[in-house]
Amino acid sequence: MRRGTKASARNVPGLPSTTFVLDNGGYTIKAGFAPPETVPDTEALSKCHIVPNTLVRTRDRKTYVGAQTEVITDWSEALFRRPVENGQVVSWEAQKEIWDQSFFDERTAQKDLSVKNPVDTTLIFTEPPNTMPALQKNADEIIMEEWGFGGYSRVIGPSLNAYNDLHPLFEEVQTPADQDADLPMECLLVIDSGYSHTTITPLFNGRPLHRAIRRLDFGGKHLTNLLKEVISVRHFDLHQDNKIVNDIKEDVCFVSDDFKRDLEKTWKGNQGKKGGGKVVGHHGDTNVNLNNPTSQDDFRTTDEVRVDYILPDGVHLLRGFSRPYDAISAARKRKQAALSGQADAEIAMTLGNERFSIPEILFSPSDIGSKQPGIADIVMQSLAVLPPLVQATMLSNVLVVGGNAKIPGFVERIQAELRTRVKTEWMVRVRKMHDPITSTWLGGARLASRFPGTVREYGVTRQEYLEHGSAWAARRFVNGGGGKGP
Amino acid sequence: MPLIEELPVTSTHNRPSHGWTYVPDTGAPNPIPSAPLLLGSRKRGRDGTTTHASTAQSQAAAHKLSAKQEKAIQQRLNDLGKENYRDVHIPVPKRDGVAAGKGREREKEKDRKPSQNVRRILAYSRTFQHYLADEEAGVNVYGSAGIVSGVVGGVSNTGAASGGHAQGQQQQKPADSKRVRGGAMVDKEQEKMTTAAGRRNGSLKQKQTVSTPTMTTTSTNTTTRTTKTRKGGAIESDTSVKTESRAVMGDTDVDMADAPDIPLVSVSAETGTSAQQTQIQQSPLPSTSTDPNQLSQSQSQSNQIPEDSVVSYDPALDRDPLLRTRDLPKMPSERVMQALLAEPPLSYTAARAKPLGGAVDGMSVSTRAGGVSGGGGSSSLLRPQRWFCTICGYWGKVRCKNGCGERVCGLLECWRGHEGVCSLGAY
Repeated sequence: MRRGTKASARNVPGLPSTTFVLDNGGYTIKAGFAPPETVPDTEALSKCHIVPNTLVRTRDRKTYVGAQTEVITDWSEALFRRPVENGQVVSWEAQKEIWDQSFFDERTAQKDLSVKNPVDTTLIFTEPPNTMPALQKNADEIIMEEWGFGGYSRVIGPSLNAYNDLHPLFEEVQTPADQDADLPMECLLVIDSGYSHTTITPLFNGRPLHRAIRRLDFGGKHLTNLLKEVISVRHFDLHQDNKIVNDIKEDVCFVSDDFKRDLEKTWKGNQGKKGGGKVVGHHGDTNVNLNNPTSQDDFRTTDEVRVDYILPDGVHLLRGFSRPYDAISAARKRKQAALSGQADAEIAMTLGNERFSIPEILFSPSDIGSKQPGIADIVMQSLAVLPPLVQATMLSNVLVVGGNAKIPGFVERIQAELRTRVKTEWMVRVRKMHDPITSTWLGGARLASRFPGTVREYGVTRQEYLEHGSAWAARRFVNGGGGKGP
Repeated sequence: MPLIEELPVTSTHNRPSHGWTYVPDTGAPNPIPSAPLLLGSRKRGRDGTTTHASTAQSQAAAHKLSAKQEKAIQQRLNDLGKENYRDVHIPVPKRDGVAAGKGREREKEKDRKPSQNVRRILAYSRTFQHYLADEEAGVNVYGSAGIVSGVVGGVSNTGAASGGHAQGQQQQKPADSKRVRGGAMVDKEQEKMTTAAGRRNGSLKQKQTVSTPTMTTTSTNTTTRTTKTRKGGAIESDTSVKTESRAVMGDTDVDMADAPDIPLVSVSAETGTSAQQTQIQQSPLPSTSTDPNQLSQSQSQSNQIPEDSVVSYDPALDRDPLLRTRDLPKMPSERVMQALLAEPPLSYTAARAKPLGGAVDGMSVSTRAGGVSGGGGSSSLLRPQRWFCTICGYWGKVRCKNGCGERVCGLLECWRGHEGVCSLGAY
């Protein structure tokens, strides 16, 4: 179904040849110009820049916009305003300010990101699946009427991943043949686990199968907030420190491959003497076991899960870090610090089951009371409405994108859970790109430089927009040219 | 697929490590059937689960949360989605340099008045919830500019979707009734056969009877437009099943009496005697031969795709045990995929993943037949609720005695920690 070969698409009338790919995420914007020629992915990615999609007000009541937030050192009590809610641009007032600063204002925009002449630029703008029509209309109108791009295509973000070079990921046997030949992927199931939600999008030849798109209303934001809640109960009150907790999450959280085992490992009741003096007193008969080799082994394995996390103090230490758990030295240091009363003593806490029970909610939302099923069950739900062979093919081509894919063990866990749900004859392959955050952008860039015909088919020029209006444009973004376009 | 798992109730740990007796968790399925009888009934009674006789019932009751608790959970989930720890509006900062540092033409460009749409959009102070309410109310944002009905409003979307579904159900029904008839015939045949012939002969007869519904559907499909997809499905099973002629008897996956023999149907059909068989079957049961064209249709046995266009793809067909295939099924035709691609997007709310176990039990049988058992279907996929200690995050083995609904792990430390903050403990 691939439309437009390279040869025929080289010189498409209508859309400007410069293409700006804008993956407008809830947490960060991934933006950059698509390379005009087909270049290796690493080179293309060098043009992709990540801009925080937020307005931040710090404790000293200064407001930072987008990329300016990188200079903030004191993140404590910072407040955020995000134009994107649930993946969709709701507040264009804030979004416009961030875009203006990042792309359109020559003084503040990075050189690579500066869009000097929107009229001579095609914009590929991503939206999550099932964006509400009212918000789509807002986006179309403001993009075309405020900035006036010469060409514009609003695409469903996950679908761009079908244009990535995925065959090496999924196939064991490498075929060095012309890899662009069989792009987009015929069947690809994209799990996009982002900031505000996780979506499952089956793609057929790069187009979404709408009936099977499903969404889990949990994303990275929820993980951070949950971790914040848990740390505030168990360690320090960090409920005002979004960024710090987010850093903790990124540093130490992982997805367990055996939840029960890891939970046993981290339970205080299993830790003998070191678990706290009070507890041991109640064990009674357990004291006998304390020194036998098995409990020693237990103890050692426990250490693999627990880590010490040193919180930033905002002066000497700007970002927290983790180090292997060391009960003895930690206790000694704490005592020393308490005795000497040093102001610069490090603030540390020991994280145990927080590390894996937080990401666990993506796989078992019922743990925090949600009635939604976990990711693997949602994939099954999604596939249930598709023809059987498509199901089988989708399962052997599952790509995970989005920030949560960076959590160690995430991809492996999805694969393991899907494996238990699918008959053995069917293959289950779950993979991620090297950088799952920019993989959607990269797919967009590859689409722009390799398949301009497809962009043309699903895009509109400025003239077409002005002539036919936003309703027509919206139809075209969904259905393609359909013979109506030039 | 039945859920098999190790139950967390009995700790794998060999050391009992608590200073008091457990209150058994009536919520988790109990591995020992006699265990409920040993319970001190007072505590259970206090939780509102009085009956010991039916564990299933008491389990359900124990897991039923009060409205208050439901609300608290919902509130917590909403809180998890929050951006900031307190509600605050951060105004967009004024940029000082707008007038100062600009080039002349740039400035001119800036002076150009933004269009009316832009001004309106920028001035919106609507939240996500407002938009969501609009969508659910089915507001057509493009007004009379008229867009394909499916692409816009949520209501029209869901309407179309549910309509399609209803259609699917209707399509399924005749198939079911046919299947039932087929099953009845099997019984009759078997009664006849068992006296003289051996088991093998009986199964041969069986497969002939089973062939009837498949054939009839194929033939009726050519006349009625709505069931067109069914033909595709039938053909699909026919062709792909060729490889499957072996090892059909050992199939324990399907409850239907006639289902295990399906793969043989196509085998016999391939031999070319299928037309004959259909004929034979039709004489005792004339009700199936609704279509005069049937004979010729079934003789033709076309494996190629019908020329007419498919209206919509019906997922219910995948679950039909008669059409079930066990190896990789055939690729659906190009038309089916085009029809799937042409479907309008779901609305925001419709795309939200539904809770498991929402469907009726009858679904669970049929979902097994398809490639993937539908996640929305069987309640057997439901995992038991897991409870955690609110203090340390370990398994929540002990319920708070104040009935606040929270649990602790059984360590004194955690219990005290909870007691200190328990909302109901301070009376």
